[in-house]
Amino acid sequence: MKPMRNHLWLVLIGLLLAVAGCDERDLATPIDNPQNNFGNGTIRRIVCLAPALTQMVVDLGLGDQIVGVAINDAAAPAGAVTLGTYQQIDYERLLQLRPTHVLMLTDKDGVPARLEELSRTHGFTLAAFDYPNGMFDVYNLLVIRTITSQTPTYDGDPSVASVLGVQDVGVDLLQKLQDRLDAVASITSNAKLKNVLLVIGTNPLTASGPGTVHDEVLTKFVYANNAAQFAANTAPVYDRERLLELKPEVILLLLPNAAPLQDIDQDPRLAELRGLDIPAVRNGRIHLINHPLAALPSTSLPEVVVEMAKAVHPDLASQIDAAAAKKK
Amino acid sequence: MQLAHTPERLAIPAGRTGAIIAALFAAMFGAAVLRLCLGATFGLPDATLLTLRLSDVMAAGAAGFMLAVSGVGLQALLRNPLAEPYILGLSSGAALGVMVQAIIRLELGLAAGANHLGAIGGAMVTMAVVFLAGRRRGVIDPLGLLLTGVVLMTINGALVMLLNYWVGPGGIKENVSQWMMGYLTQSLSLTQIGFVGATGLVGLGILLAIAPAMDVASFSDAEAISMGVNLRRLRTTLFVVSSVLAAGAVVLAGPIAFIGLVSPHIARLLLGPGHDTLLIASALIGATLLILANCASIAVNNAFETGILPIGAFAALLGGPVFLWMLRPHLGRGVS
Repeated sequence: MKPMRNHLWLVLIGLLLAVAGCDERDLATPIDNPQNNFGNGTIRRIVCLAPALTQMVVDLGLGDQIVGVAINDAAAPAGAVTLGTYQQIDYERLLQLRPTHVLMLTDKDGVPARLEELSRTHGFTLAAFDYPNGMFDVYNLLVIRTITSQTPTYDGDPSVASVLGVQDVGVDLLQKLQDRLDAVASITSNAKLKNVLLVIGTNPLTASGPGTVHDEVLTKFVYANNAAQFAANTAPVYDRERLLELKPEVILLLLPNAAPLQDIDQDPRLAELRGLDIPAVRNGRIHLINHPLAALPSTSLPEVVVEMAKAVHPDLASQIDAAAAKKK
Repeated sequence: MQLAHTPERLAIPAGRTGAIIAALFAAMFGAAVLRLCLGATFGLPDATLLTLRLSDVMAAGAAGFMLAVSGVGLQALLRNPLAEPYILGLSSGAALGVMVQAIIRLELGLAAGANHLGAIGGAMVTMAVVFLAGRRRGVIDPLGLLLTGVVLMTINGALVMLLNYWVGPGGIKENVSQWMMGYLTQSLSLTQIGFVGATGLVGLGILLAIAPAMDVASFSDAEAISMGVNLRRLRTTLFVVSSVLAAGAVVLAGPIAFIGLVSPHIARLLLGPGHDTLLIASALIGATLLILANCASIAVNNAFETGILPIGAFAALLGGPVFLWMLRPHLGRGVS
C-alpha cells in the first residue's frame, strides 16, 4: 500500500507541474485592443530583440504594440514577453506571440538561419540592422538607411520607422533628436574644451575608446576631448600610470543603474583613482551617469548627453537644461 | 629518518643547485628592475611613478610566486603532474564570488566592496566545500579531492554563466569578463599587497618546513606511512596552504591559470624533484614569469595603444614556449 501512495504523490506533482506549464499569458494583449490599429489600420505585433530598437519603437509611439523583447531590455514596456537574446531565441514562444514584425541588430554572425526560415514560413517581417557605431548610424537606423538585406523577406527595408510604416513619425522624431543634441552643443561649444575620460567599467578601469557612439557624443555634443582618443581599441583598460599620463580633467562613469557614488576613499569603484595626482581627482570632478538607458545607442541619447554635458560643464547646467527643455 | 637525502636529490650537485637558484633570483630581480623602468615611458621613475610601478611589481611577483608554490603543493598532494591551483575550483569559485558581489552591488544599490573581497570569499567557500567533500574517513583522499574539485569547478562555472545571463550585458557582464581575464590589482595599497605577499611567504615557509615529508609522500601511502609520515596532517596542511596561496593570488591578479602548472615543471626540469629546492625555484620562476608578463603587457600598450592587456595571456605566451623547449628532450619517452 505504501509504494502505491508514493506513486500517487508523484502523479499529483506531475499533474500540478503540467497545469503550471500551461500558461496562456498575454498572447492576445495588443492585437485585441482596437486602439492598437495604427494609421492605416495596420495591427502590429512587434518583437524587438535589441534594447536600442525597443527604445526607438517606444519613442515612435508604438510601445503598446511591442509583444516580445530580449532579456535585460531596460527599455521594454511592461508586459512584453522575454524571448532570450538575439542569438538564443525562444522560437516556440516567439511563434506563440504571432509577431508581425521582428526587429533585431546583428553582428558578424548575421541573422540566425532559423529565424529567417520562420519569417518566410510564418509571414512576419524580419528586419535586421547592423549595430550602430556612431550617431550617423543611429539616425540611419531610425529613418534613413537600408542596412542588412540578405533575404527577400526584408530586402529594401529602409529603417525602423519605415519597416513599421511610420516614416513620418520617424522623420519628426529624428528632427527632435537632432534639435536637442544641437541645442546642447550650441551651449557647450562656447565652453572651454575639457579632457574627459569616459569610464564604462571599473575593476579593471575600462574606458570608452574611439569609434564608439559615446565617443562621438562626447566630442561632438558635450564638446570635450576624449582622453582615450588614441587607444587602438574601443574599450581600452588603463592602469594608474597611464591615467597619470592621460591627465583627465573630468571622469564620467557611464554605468547604467549603478548605485550613487560615495566618497572616493569609501567607494570600491573608485579605488584605482585613490591618491592619483590627476586634475579630475584633485578637483573632485568624478561623476556618475547611471541613467538606465545610458549605454544604448538609441533615441534615448539626448537625455544621456544632457546629463554628460551638465557633469562636464556644471557652470552651464542651467543653460543646458533650458535649451534641452525648449527643444523637447 | 634522513628524508632530505633521497637518491633523486643526490643526482644534482649542491653547488649546481645553488648556482641555478642564484640565477633564478637574478632573473627575477632583473625582471623587477625592467618593470620599474618600464611604464608609459622608459627610464628611472620619479617618486610617484616608482610607487605605482612598485605596486605592479609587488602584485605580479607575489601573485606569481603564490601560484607557483600552490602548484607545487597541489601536485604533491594529488600526485598528479597536471594539478594546479584552479583544478580544485578555486578560480571558478573566485569568479562566482565576484559575480555575486557585483549582483549585490547592482541589485541592492550597495557599494559592496572591491572585486577582491568577493574573490577571496568565493575561493574560500569553494575550498571549504572541496575539503569537506573530498575526505574519506576523515583523511583527505587525493582522488576524491580531485573529483570534487572538478565537479565544483563545473558547478561554479554553470552558476557564473547563469548569473551572467540573468544580469545581462547592460549590467555587470562586461566588467566581470574583464576581471576574469586576469589583471593586476590597481585598487590595493602597497601595504595591502605587502600583507598578501607576507601571507604567501608564511605559506612558503610552512611548505618548506614539510618539504622532506612531501618528498616521501610522493611514494605510495604505505611507503610514506612506514617512513613515519603523518599523511592526514600532511595532506590537510598541503590543501589549506595551497588554497590560501591560490586565493591570495586571485586577490592580486584575478584568476590566472598556467603559472601554477608550468612553474613547478620548469623548476623540476632544472633541479629535480626534491621539494625544498623545488619550492624555492618554482616561487622565483612564477614571480619572474608574471613580472615579465606585466612588462610585455605594458610594452604592447606603449607600442600599439591597446590599453593594458591581461597578464594571464602574456604569462602563457611567455612561459609556454619556454616550457615546451625545456620539455623537448623528455617528450616521446612513453612511446615504446
